[in-house]
Amino acid sequence: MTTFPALTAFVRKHGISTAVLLATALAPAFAGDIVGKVKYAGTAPTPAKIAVTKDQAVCGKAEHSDESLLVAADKGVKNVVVNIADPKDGKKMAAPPKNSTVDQNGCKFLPHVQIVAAGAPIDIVNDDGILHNIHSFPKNNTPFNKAQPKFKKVMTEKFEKADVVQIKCDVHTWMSGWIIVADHPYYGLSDASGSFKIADVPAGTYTLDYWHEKLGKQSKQVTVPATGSVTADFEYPAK
Amino acid sequence: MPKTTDEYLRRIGGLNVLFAASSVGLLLITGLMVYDDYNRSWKDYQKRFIRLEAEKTRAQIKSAEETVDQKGMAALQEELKEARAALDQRGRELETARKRLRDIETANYRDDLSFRTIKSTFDARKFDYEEARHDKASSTAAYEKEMDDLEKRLEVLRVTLLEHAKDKTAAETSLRDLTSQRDAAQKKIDDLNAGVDRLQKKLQKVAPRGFMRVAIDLLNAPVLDFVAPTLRIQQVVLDQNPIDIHFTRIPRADRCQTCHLAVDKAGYEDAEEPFRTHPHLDLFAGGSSAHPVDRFGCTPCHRGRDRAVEFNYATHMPDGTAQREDWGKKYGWERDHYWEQPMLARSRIEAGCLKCHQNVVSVPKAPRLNRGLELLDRVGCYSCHKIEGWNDRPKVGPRLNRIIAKATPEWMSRWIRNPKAFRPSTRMPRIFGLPNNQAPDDVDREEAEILGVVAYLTDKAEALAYPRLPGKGNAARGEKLVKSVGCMGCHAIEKDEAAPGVLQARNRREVADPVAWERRFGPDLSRIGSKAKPEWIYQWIRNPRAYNPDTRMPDLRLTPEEALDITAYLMTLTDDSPVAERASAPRPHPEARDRTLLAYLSQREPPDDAKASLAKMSDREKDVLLGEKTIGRYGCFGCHLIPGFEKTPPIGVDLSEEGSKPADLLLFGYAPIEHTSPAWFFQKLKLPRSFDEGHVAEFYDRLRMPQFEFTDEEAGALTLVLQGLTKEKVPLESIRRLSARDQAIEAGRRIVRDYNCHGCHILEGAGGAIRQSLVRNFMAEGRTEDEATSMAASIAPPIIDGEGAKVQPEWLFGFLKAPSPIRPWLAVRMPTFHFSDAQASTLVHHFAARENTVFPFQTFDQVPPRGAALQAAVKMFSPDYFNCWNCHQQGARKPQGPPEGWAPDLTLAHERLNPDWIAHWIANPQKLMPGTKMPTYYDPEDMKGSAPPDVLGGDPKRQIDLLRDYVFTLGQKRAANMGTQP
Amino acid sequence: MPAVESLKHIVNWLSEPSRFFLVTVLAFFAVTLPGEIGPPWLRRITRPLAAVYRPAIGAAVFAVVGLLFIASCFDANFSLIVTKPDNVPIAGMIFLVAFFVWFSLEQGRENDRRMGAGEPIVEKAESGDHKVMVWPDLVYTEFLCMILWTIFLIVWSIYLKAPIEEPANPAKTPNPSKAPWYFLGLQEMLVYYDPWIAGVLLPGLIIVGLCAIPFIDVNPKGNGYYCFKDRKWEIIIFLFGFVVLWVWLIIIGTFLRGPNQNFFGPFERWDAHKLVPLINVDLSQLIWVKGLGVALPSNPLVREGFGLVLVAVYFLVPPFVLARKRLKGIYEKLGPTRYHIMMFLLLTMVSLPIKMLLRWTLNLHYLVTIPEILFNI
Repeated sequence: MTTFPALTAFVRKHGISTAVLLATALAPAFAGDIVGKVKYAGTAPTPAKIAVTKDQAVCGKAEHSDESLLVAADKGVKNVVVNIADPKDGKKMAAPPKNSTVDQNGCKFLPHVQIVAAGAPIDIVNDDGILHNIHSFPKNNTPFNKAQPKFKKVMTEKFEKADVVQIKCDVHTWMSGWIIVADHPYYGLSDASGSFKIADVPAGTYTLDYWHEKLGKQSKQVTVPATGSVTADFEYPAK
Repeated sequence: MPKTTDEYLRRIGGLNVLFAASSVGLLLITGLMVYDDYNRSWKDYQKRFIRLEAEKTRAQIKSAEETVDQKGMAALQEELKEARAALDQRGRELETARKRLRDIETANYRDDLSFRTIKSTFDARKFDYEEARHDKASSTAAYEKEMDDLEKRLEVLRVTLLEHAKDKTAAETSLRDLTSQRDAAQKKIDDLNAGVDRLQKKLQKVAPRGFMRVAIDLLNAPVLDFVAPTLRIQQVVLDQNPIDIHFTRIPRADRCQTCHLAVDKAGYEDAEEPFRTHPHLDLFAGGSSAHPVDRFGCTPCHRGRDRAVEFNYATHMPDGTAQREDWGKKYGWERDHYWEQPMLARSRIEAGCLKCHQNVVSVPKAPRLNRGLELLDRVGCYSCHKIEGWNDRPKVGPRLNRIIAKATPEWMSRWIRNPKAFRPSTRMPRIFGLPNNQAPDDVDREEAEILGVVAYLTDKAEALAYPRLPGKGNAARGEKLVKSVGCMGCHAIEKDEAAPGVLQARNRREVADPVAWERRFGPDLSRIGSKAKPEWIYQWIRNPRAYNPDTRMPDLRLTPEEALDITAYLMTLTDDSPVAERASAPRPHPEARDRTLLAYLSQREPPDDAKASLAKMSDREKDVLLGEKTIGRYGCFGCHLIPGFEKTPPIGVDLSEEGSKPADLLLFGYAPIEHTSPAWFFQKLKLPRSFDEGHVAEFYDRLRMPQFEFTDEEAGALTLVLQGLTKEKVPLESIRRLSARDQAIEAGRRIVRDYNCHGCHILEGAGGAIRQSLVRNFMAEGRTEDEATSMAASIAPPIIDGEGAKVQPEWLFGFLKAPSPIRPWLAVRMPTFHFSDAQASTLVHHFAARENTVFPFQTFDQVPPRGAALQAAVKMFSPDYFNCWNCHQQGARKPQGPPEGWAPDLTLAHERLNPDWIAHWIANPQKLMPGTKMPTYYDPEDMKGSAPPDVLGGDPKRQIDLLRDYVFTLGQKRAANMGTQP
Repeated sequence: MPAVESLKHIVNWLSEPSRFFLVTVLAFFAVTLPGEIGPPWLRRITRPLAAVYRPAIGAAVFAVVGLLFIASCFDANFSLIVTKPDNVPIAGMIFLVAFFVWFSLEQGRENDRRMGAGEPIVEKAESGDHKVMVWPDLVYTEFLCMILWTIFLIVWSIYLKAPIEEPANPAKTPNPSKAPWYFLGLQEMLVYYDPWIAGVLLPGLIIVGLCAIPFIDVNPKGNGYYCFKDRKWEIIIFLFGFVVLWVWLIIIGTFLRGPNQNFFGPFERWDAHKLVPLINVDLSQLIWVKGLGVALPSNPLVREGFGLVLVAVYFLVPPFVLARKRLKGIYEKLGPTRYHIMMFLLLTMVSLPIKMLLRWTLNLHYLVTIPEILFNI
């Protein structure tokens, strides 16, 4: 390491895991990507409108619609979390240099679904300037339910263990968001078109988990080549 | 004058040889005798334990030595060496110092001696002088003079002694100054080694070496060991827990510790038996535990022969065949029939608790026993069997004195024939069609008997007919109500809640019941529509007590419309079982009926008369008579109130002392089971009639206990209870007497059990069964289980642990008597139980006692905040701060948004809540009620940081107190105007 | 093996008391008096039994019986009963008694033979005409026996532990509850007689009788040597009383009396639930109710008249008749007092087996029963 003073300094700063990441980044020889597209067999439902029953002044600004199942024209499903169930290497997901945030804006959680590193701090921001409360429903972590009145702009929370946590606001019952706590880097989140990518997966055969808040959890096998990428499309059966 | 040897009858030489041989033989045999007497298994155990203890101590020593910080030690040794060296340097001074001290001490001794001598002479003279003076003797003057000069000499000596003392201290200090450095070092070393030394001493005690070892071996040697052996029987004599040997109660002498040497010592948890520490040292055996071994010994709970010191003789009992075989190999185990209270096998040990822990709803830390107790209570063994302690329990079955208003004869006959065919989860056991009544005659007879019972019940039942329904209900709405208002806390509709496969497996008693125990409190409603008449249902749910004054079914304050809807819905729940499985309605068998009646009547009168009196009867009369006989024989009136049998005593044997019954008093017949009482109990519970097999008996002499279809687990638990019901009388001293507080709590627990509060509420970490149903409702709406669970939690009845600290006793009393909605937005309702004042206050007292709060009266002098304080409070309530009115109801003013987001009316707080609780609640709601929707305003980790900085100087404590006081003023007359804001 | 099983059944069948008793009595007389009593044909059958008194054959018989006994121990029930620590001595007693009875009879016959042939009797042949020394011949051997016996007892006590059972429970007595082995004879009598007779009168008479023997017995022969001919009837009567009416009853009580005092064959399982029909009737009921078909007279004397007469006849008639006929010689030899005392004792002794047979055959309870004065015979 002494040969890369910069690198050493970086590692000192950001911990060994980053070093590992870098190492893989430097030597991508035996790692491939998993790319794919998640579809929904059924007819794409039009997201239901949500009536704003409270704090019209703030919440009423923007339209509210049910985000629990967003299907694109080509049946691509948004907000599907794709991850390797059984990673072979002991890699930990690195905390991003800047804290990931949950923004409460117009009585919505933004983003609706996001992936954060286990143990990494999460900034919960209240842009609305009215009382919200963050009520988390984790399975492996300790739940909390904290008020965030106007005077409390930012609260910082963290989840230690890998988990799928729903967050709700009891004040505004329609508000719902999901925080996926990841303890290894091989996670991907499908975009509006339903496509996702998991980068630099060491070659080998894995079980791939697809999770969606409404469509539930499904699995399939993939084999990642030493180089290049493998396509792991998936289609949820109609409900 | 003896003849010469050759004339003796026998050859002396031969006799001498024989004599020599036989005396040697006698010697050897005596040796054998001594050895046989000396050789006892418990001695070997004690020797083995000594070895074990020695090993342990050595190990400890080793680890202790490792922990001793060697570096420090070395340094200290170094220090010591230096100190010594330094001291040697000044050897001369040291020597002189020592010499000086010695000289002073010598001089001091010398002078002190003469002082004391003279003093004694002086005292003697003083006496003489006083005597002489009193007698006015001439010698007075002489004495006086002598005393004077003695006194002078004494004074001189006293001074010198004081001088000496002074010099001595001086000399000592100087000496200490010289050696101080060395002594200090030495002391440090000793301190460092203290632990190790202590262990070394212990080791020497446990496993002595050298002379001591020889001495001890000698003390334990055969013959010599009558003096003071170290291997000796360890016993505790328990006069507090005597053993009842047939009418004479003698103190137990528990000798178990002769082999179980470490049972009350921590640190042997993983040692091999018999040296293992008691697995629950905190609860048993341990000196600080509730059952210290020196007071309770072992056999009072474990049973077995207290004085025995040999494996078999102590009546150890193997747990299962595997252990039995293992013991057979290890100890040549075989059952000792000569002790009526053999030890309880490991898995049955909880049976030992019952003889002391009586009249409690549940025994702490005895899950299987408690299971048995709740089963006994639910199934109602006490209705047919007298059991001490269960004397005044209510009948488990519904009263049948008005049955015709409720069910049809057709249904009744089907039900009586085989209740579980209609409702597999029912508690009612099967009475007919059991193995000991399978002959063709029997089958016909039973058909007749069933019809007879129905005839009797319908004939004797009070003629009661309900008016037609006032209208037509809406089944859909009814279903919604049934599944939301709270019926599901005590009832289930299992066909909606579990997969058919699961239910069938449950019916075969292969899997546990998928429905929570609490929700089996009331009957399963899956087929209620095929059972009860709609008119009855309507009346019943509107006011259960009208039909059955002693029912425990509460009143949900249903409006007529609601009642109609529910009735409509329940009537849709009809029998869906495949016709093949249904118990078909029995056909009449006149000849069988007459035969049976004849048999009954002929027991009392000659057959001809019997025939004659039968001939006089109509068919109906015959049926009714047969019904009466049958009910009398099977004792239906034990569980049900049946007209004509109100006073008849139950038919079962008294079980109060069943556990003490020796096995040879139980009739095993040809049942292929082990001849022990537990085995018999289990068989009796599983197949009650099986003991009739192979016997020849008239139908009225056969076994009558009905078949409950217990699972093995249930039968096992009940067996445990039966084993626990012994005739042992425990002296009051050794029974834990409940404190007033405990009694209050226990009394409450009984009501909680009898009214199934756990069906809806979570209390003492149990219950909340209704959530099971609520979750299923949400999942039926397509929610994921997690979602459903969290949503159910938000609409479920509250967790009422800590209620005593939360609410005011008067309020709780009133609420229990006549519940009024606190969370109007909840569909589920607190029913009206029509508690008596006694019951209600018992419950209030229960909660108060559990929280150590005052009962029954409390006063709260909350100072209503004024001026600045009031402004601050209002500010904190405001939207920019805690925005309380956002969710909390304020009297008439409802919050925005849908009801499930609302929170209780704060204007009720002052008459409902306890101010201290309010403060705790505001500080950390999650702590008091995990999962509550009330958000945490003050981060428990960082109170200060999370408090609004610009109120009361951001001091959370003061803020919280203020909020508490303010909340308490809300809704009160004088504070009403302040409350409404903004 | 069916053969063995059926053999066991036969034995069990034979051990039914009345049969067993008859067999025993017959065997007793057949063996003690081979070919000397009964009709000629019987004598012809029993005569060869005398061969038993040839040592070789005697030994052989003992060996066979011993082997049968050991073989029987392979039967669970048999060995269970026989090997009970407190039954072992009784098993031993069977053989010891048998042996010594046999030995005395054998010696007696040997001496009879010698006297007949004019040879010196065994005792004489052994020691010649000079005396045997107390020391060492007697004391020394006694001392040796003491030592050897002590050794034997110690070994026994070590390997046959005392059978300790559960603490005594007045509410639940052991079943069967038996007297100590040496009283089992008495206990057996209690089954047939009123306790007052079996427990007090008979034992008293036994002792009195034993004391009376030297005064009744005027026969000077047979002192200091074995003999049979010279004291045939004395020996027979004694052995009958001792072996049959005492030892045999002890054996019955030990091995054949099971739970509820029921009889069990040696190869039968002691089943506590075994039921035996047993309705005892008194003589009075037999005669008045069953025989004459009338109600019992209220006057006890009338009611029990038959019984009283019967008993009186039993005790009074035979002595006088016999004194004139069969036992004329003895009567003259003894004189009336001795003779009548002897007869009374003999009749009392014989009354026991008679009562037993009556019980077993007619379920006869009492010959005379006057509960009004607690008087039962």
